[in-house]
Amino acid sequence: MKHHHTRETAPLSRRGFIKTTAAGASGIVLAGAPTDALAAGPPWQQTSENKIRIGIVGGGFGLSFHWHEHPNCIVEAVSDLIPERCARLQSKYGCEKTYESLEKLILDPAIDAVAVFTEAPNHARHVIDCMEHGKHVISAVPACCSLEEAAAMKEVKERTGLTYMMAETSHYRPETITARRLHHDGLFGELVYCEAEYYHPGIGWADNELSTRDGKRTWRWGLPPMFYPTHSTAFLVSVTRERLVKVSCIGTRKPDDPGFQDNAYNNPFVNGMAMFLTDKRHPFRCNVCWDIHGHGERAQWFGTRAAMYMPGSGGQPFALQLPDQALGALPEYWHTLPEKMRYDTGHGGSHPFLTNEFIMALVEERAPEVDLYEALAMTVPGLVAHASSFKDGEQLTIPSFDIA
Amino acid sequence: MLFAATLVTWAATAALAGADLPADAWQMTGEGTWQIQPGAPAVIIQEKSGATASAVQTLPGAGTIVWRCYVEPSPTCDAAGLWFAAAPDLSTGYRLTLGGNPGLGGVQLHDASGALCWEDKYAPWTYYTPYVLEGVAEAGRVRVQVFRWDGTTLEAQSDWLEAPGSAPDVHRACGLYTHGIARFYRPGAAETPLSPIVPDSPSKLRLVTSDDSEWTIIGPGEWKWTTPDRTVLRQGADVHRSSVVNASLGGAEGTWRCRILLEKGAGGGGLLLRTDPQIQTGFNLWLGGNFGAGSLMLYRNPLGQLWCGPQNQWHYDTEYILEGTIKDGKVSGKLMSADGTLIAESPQFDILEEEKELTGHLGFMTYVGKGRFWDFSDATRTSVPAGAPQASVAAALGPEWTLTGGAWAWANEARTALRQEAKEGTAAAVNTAMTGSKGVYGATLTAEPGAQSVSLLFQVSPDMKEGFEARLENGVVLRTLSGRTLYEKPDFAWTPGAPYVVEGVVVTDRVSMRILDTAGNVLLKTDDFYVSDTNNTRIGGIGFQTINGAALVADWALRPLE
Repeated sequence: MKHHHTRETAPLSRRGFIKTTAAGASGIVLAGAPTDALAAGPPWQQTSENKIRIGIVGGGFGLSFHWHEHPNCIVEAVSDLIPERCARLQSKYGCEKTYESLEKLILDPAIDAVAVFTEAPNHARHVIDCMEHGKHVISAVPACCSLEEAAAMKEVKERTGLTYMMAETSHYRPETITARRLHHDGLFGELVYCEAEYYHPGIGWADNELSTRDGKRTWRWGLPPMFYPTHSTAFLVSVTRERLVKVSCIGTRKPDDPGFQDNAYNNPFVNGMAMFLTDKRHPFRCNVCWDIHGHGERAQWFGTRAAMYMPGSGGQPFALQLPDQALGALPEYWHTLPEKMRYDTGHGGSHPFLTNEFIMALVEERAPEVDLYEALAMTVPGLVAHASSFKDGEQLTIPSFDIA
Repeated sequence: MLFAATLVTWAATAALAGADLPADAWQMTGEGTWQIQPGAPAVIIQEKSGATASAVQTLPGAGTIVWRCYVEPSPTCDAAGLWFAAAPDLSTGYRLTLGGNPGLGGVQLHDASGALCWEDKYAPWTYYTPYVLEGVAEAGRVRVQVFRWDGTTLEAQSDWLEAPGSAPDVHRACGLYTHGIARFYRPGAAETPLSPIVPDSPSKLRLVTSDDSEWTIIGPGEWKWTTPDRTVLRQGADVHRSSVVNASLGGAEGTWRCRILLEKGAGGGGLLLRTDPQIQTGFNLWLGGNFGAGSLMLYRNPLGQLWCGPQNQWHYDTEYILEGTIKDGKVSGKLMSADGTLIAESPQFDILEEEKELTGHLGFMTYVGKGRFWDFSDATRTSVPAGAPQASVAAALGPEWTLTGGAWAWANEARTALRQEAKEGTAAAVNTAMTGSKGVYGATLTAEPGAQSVSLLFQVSPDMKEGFEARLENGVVLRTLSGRTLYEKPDFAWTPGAPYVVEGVVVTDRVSMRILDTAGNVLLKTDDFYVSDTNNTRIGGIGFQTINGAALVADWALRPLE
């Protein structure tokens, strides 16, 4: 399998990588440097008849994807611990087989890959279980909840050579795809600063509908906001592929809420406001907040030659400011998907893009855009930010889980 | 200066009729840096910002008359497109490009000397979006067209243009051209164009604003006719403020009138009275205030407010009549519903002494969005039907209701129940005052025997383009108002004439529906269905719809989530 980012470019001329014009003319440089994937381009067309047989685990968020609509995918089986939710999965994806647990599903030799949409604290364990049984994996975010889990995921991925993808929705919001393209084309100039935020009031609160089920606490009860950073960090990491190397984070508390007094994470913080430093010495302000008057996932990118602003819940419109013009139109990228999948099922319309990327990465035997290294580069900085918030924002160093 | 490059091949695909260009030698000229990104299809990239560059190759054989290519400009690209029917050194031939109207779009055809042969200045296109450009050449004439990426939706099209130098049997080179970063894929040749010349092409519907036209466009915007008969004018771009003035309509005193419809998202729009091409004089009878639920306003140009009426007088995608009168030294304006019913009327304002001798033109303006204008007139024309009713059903229900079709009336004095009595057609009532985003939207619905369906509309926009519908029809259906069916159960049995409590539930990222009897027993409860997360914060109301039959609706409410 090719590693890391497949759509490389070749020079138009292969005869010489560097050519210059004759005297008096401007230089023509035909360089062959590879470039990053753009997740956009020509209209999608089927190039292979290969089918990936997938198993889907988790009948909550796992219901919002498009596996049954992809021409290169067959839903082989589904699973949820709750029979009612398992039945919903089966009904949606139209498969014959169901399993009562992930542990049983991964024993099925007909399954090539598993979509893990289980509780966040179980992602790492479930991903590792799948890979140990020879399955490629896509999981919901975050990839993991501790540095130890990050190391374990990296070890098993590199030992098995299997594919892991994190289903980070912010990566495929149309604004992020556009920002990625602007950065690739150099139109930001130097992208010196980015601000990103994920605001979702109610997460972790004791009285929130998602915090309890059947009278029992769910994993969201008291969830540390910076354990769920990827909707924000992806807005920079997936655009520039910079790495976040240091962080100072301030957390705010909600002492009147039982969710943040007694929880499985020993977490008192309901909001996290982090200032990161990237490996290119750029600052990156990143908020994850469960108790703030705002809603949604958004970012704004500031380069030396252009700036781009996502729409916000306050009514701010999309805007792309270029040196000599301001554009209010945002491209759509539905044409890059199989025709049946061109509709919005949430998170900025990103779900069909995530579906397509995972399946096509397996069909084309390449790494997906949000592979394990990118996933950990989005996830781990939040874990360290959470630690910083216990030290009143002391700047801490973020370990790397990239290829040595 | 041309440089030979080596052979480049890429996969031929069959997405469009015709053949991709065979592998051949590209020759490059200009300042560009060209790359190929392998794939199916391969993408050819000119990646040097600001560079003017061409890559050219010559078709083998003879007889081909159609050249085409996908072209995808970057945001800073001034022009990108293809050469066709050209000499290999580009001393003759034609250059079809996206560009020419920065920030908005444009399509242009130049000959090899750089002379502009044809343009559709207001053809819109979006950066980082592929379009299919096609040039067609015969001896002595050429034509061009631009399609959406599907290769079927026409965006711009010329008629045949005289081209004395066109000799496609001789000049068979084609190429890629750009001024700035752009991507190209599937350059190809074909025997047959993707479309013949059509009478209602977008280019023919766009407003002509050349020097000899009566129309002048002020600011950005996409003004065009909606039909080839050129009766309805539409501004279709999401731009800040856009205006158009017609120099042939106007005068000193009289009544100016038009029908107006503002589309979802627009901030306002209005009728310009006795104005000038710079809109520095005259008046502006304006639908403004709250977006989608605003007021009639009267301005003295430029932007001096004289009067503002109450809010919630106009709504999206609803036809109104604007009528402004300048007479006897005074100016005033009216807003009427489509049938001529008066909705709002300004007082009369004195015209300034220095304004009294002025004459001017009729025009239209939009603000932050799209609008339509038609039946416009100067003082000699009228469009209000005689005998129009003076009170509408909507007025009888109250200003918080937006009604479409049917015969709606209160069913009780407490005004907690509505009856729709029309037996045929589709009827809808949307309450624009009871609004929210997440929550439980509910009402008791009773379809009278014979009715085809009755529905609860929830988190619905006044124009009914956004939101959800829980429908009792053959069984039950839950769907988005954009047309996607989320759930259906054809075998759910319900009884005409019996009341049902129908509830639509909006939670974060998802919606569901419930049906209960009047005793509170749950008869049906659907799963949650994932929908666009724009619904997490979108404000919508509650409404009802009937098809081919009467119904009673009662006790509508919007409750917080349980």
